[in-house]
Amino acid sequence: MTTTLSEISELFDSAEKKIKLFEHLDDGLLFSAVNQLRYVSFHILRYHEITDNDQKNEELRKAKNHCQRAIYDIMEIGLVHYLEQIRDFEQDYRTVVIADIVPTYLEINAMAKEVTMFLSNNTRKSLAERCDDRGDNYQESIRRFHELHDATEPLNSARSELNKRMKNQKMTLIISIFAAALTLAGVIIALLKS
Amino acid sequence: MMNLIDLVKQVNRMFPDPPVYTKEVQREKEKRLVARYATGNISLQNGRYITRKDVEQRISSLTEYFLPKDFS
Repeated sequence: MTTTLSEISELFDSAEKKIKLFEHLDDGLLFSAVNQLRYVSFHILRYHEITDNDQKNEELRKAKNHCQRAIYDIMEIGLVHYLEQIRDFEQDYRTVVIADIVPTYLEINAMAKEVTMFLSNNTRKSLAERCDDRGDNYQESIRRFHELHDATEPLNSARSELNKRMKNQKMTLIISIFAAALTLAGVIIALLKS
Repeated sequence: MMNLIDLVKQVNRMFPDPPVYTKEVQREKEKRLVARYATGNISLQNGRYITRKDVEQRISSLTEYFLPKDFS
């Protein structure tokens, strides 16, 4: 199957938009994705220089593959971003029951484990394997990213309710300690009097 | 008093503290350098960038948290 310039242009545009979006969403510019786009321009320039049709097609195929790898890299950091949100949420509310406020909580947790496994398996691969697979994995990474994005939305909106629950829990604990101290003081006084 | 200060200085010269060289310090220096010389991108000019190594470290930390059995 031959690759067309318009196909590459669409993928490049998509990768570029995603890089810009994540530059502000996460910790800054992702070098590996920008680097992949640098290789795209290199192959496009070579495509214009050479005359052999087979070689031209090969250059286009490589350019397309680099676009897909750029998208994978940027989706990977997106997945990491949302997984960290889930981890932070779990750690923040480890002392309260979450499942009744966020009914999908167990599913979110299972999804987080699945996505972590996906990322971890891809990271463990050798550099050569990774370069070959990243192009194939880019669509799966986009799908998983959208799923995780939708799944983490209820977590953020549940924070205010869970904060109230934590405050109530703390207040109940303080009142219980105070009541226990008063009872103990009463018992001691009664014993001293008798 | 001056003699005592001189003595402390001499001892410090003879037995200096180990140099502060941690990965964090090195990373901060690297970010400052990038921020100093970068042009054309506001994130780079602020030293805000992510390398492949950063991503791998974050994935490793998430694996440790979500899949502790796999991590070991």
